[in-house]
Amino acid sequence: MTAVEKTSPLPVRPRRGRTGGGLGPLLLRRLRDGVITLVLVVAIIFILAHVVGDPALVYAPIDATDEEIERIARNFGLDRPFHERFGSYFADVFTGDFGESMWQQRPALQAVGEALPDTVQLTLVGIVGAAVFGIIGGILAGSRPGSLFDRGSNFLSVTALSVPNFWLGLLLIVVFAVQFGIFPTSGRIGPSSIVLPALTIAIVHGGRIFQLVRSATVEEMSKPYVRVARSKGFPHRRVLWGHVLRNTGLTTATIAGWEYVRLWGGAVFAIEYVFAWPGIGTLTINAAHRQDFFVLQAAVIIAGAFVIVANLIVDLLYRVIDNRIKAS
Amino acid sequence: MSTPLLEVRDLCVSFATRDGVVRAVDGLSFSVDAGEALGIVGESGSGKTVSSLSILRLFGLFDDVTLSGEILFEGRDLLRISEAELSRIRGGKIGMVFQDPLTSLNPVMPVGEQVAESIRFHTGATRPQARKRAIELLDRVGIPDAAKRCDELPHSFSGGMRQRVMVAIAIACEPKLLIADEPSTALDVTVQAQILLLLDELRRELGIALIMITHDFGVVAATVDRVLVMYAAQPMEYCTIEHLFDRANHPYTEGLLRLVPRLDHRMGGRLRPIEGQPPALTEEISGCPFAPRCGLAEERCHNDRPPLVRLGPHHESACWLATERAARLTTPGRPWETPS
Amino acid sequence: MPVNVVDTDRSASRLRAPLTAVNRRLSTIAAGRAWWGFAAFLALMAAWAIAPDFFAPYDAERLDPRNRLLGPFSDSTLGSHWAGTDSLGIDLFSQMVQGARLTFYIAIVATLLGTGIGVTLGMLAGYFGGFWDRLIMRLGEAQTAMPMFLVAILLLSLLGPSVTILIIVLPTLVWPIFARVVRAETLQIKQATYIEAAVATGCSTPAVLGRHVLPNVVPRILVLFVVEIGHVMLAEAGLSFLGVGVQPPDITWGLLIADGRPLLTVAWWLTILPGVLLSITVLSLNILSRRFEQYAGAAA
Repeated sequence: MTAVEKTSPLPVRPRRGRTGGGLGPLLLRRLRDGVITLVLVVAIIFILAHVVGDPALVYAPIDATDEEIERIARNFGLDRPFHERFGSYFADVFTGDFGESMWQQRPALQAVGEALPDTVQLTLVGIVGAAVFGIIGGILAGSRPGSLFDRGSNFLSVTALSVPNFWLGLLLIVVFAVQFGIFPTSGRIGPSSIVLPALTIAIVHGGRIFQLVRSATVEEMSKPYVRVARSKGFPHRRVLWGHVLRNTGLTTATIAGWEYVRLWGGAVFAIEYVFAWPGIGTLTINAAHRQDFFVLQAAVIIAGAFVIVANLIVDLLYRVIDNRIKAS
Repeated sequence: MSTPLLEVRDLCVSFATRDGVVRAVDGLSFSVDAGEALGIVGESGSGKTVSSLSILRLFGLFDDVTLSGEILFEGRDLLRISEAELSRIRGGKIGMVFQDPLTSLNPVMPVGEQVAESIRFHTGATRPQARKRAIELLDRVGIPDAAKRCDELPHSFSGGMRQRVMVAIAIACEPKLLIADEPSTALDVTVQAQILLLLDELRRELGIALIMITHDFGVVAATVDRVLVMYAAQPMEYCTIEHLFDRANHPYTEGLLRLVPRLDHRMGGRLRPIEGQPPALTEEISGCPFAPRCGLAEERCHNDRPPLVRLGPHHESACWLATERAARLTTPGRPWETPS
Repeated sequence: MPVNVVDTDRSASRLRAPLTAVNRRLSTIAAGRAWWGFAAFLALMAAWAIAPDFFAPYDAERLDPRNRLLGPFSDSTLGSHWAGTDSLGIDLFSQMVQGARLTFYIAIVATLLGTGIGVTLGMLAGYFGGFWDRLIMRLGEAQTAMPMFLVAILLLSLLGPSVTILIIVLPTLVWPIFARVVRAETLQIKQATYIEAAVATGCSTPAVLGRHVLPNVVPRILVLFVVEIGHVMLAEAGLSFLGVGVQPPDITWGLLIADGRPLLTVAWWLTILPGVLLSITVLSLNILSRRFEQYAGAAA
């Protein structure tokens, strides 16, 4: 770590060798940033739970007497001084002890750990769909700005961004599950259960990917080398696929990667709830309804850690591929 | 006289923009014979680049262009043939070299491939054949160690070398006409001369006609047979290179020539820039566009557009005073030395 | 790249170019005339929010059990219900009109708060630099790297859902983007010579910042503000839908969607129609902001 600390704060990576020089220090720096972010999040949750809210009241059943509340407070060590609690809280969290779920009668981490793979699966299928919509549409629209297709698809994508994601899920249920009965309305009863929630994600996030890919394509199409390629006599399609996409490929992949991270920022959880998909979103919202603080905080911290790791992977992949292109 | 290779008749180009319609080219006519070199000279914004782009219809993605007139190439009007027909001509019969070599090559494609893909497209050559030919071409335009360097990406080449690659791309399919749009402007002075020399050599060797677009009379003097001077989207003067330096007729041409430092300039004084600014092309220009800056302007110059006056077999000038001035200048003399 | 070739007789020396507005090609319908329609829709929604009793045909609290779950465009003994009625027989259209007020109120107030916080922090970060800059920007980054929606759920369930808490929580979603824009502008302006001159002539630092930074960022802030109202509206709807936002008897569109959800299979309109209203509102905000953007871009 010390070697990393000594490098300048400027985002200039020392270039060593041909392939991906300086990736090691970058990885370390990003890891450090990620850990700082995570610590910040844990601290915020602690402050919220222990300073802004009254933990004893939060943990107690609604009809609890004063004595019972006091007992709960002692049980969770709430009678100890503030800094002691802060320290032990951190120690607990970073050793994987997120407390016991009162609702599920088992460790909160276990409940979250069980839900995590389902959320990962749904987000991955959803983002692939979004990437297919967004990238193909964005390239076709961006390569002919002002065309009918461009204007039409642009409007559709803005609409997709304006629609509440959970409502879109309900709309799809009404149309495809209630009216046509093609897919199950909710739950997880077979492979077809994933279609509607994934489609909801694909539409909403596909809209954003579309916007970003479109503008990247438009920008690339205005570069001088495109005119040179056209001066060789190549038809539009060949200029696009043979020249422009070679250049926008990496940007496009990165856009999809960022969008995946973004998906974890919100949309997926409400969509899970709409379709009763047994992931982190459904778990969290049910926990919120039952005032199950330990599951809630475990979900936030685990999901946060996942987002930080995903962020890191997208960033590093971009650097590695970028370096390889430049080095070849 | 046989028909010229390229004949442009009354070309008008306008762009619809936010600020209204911009007339970028207004009533331009010229012709180029096979193997001949024509220079189009003007300030930036005078319409010279747009005229060259019009020939192959290579406008930008967002340009809303309206064209009129005729561009006859080997008897066909390029403005009215289909995109598919035009694509056989682009890069096949007409090659083009652009201004900025640093951004004109695809940054993620090996340079050899960028030459070879054009050959494959137009001649149907196989990959190895095209590659072999690309290496020959790169060698011909002066890329050292071409066989090895053809697999490198553009960023390992210098500006001058990249422009050589551009020239190789433009002549890859043995075109009849080469359009060079300010090919040397973005380069270092010494490299500039090399590129111009290369273009001149290739033209003579391969018998290619050349249209050289530039703002630099030095470039014109070195490479072309005839010159077209443009100002504010309109043609001002059209003459042979000898006439240009000895018998420039139009006051604008004369003004430009005063800006060229000359070794045989006796006065040894300062270069005199032309006062004022060119007119905005969104405005309607009723008279001669140069009239507001012209020291000789009369009332009719401001009100009526002057016709192109034919002064000889190879000399036209768009000035109301053309005939008068021509008579004065038939005696050999140097116009820039006449007291104004 | 539309290229039109016009055949002119050679005597015509002037061009007769058809006047196609190029901005029409540059963007979507935002640049055409269609944006007027969206602006008009927003104006109507604003009118609903200001004077709901004028626009609502029926009392949104009066139960009418005989006319339960009437579909859209049906008639009851009271009159016509063009958006149908809910499980208690209350007219849905009246409820949607009544819901506009709180929907807009929360979105606008929360966005205003977020804008204020973002602008202030961005200015502080840009002006003081160093530690404060890093702290503020890192906080913003940390937030964008977090599942903020889960954090909001956690917060609301800890503090207890209410309109006030919602208005406190929602700005956390929007301030970082404002901070980033203002910080960049402040950094740039700090270098400008006229700022040095202003300081040299004795203007205080906050006055200088207020006088010179703000006018420069107002157009961009305005564009962002309009977009973010839409985002906040969607976030509020989501939280209310999940039961941690607005609580009955208050009405917002998000809450109406939540109310209709259990009856999705028998009375689709209760869920779908409020969502349509919300979607068109957010879409209008998005399109209007693009229009502003072009206008500001053209003016700059």
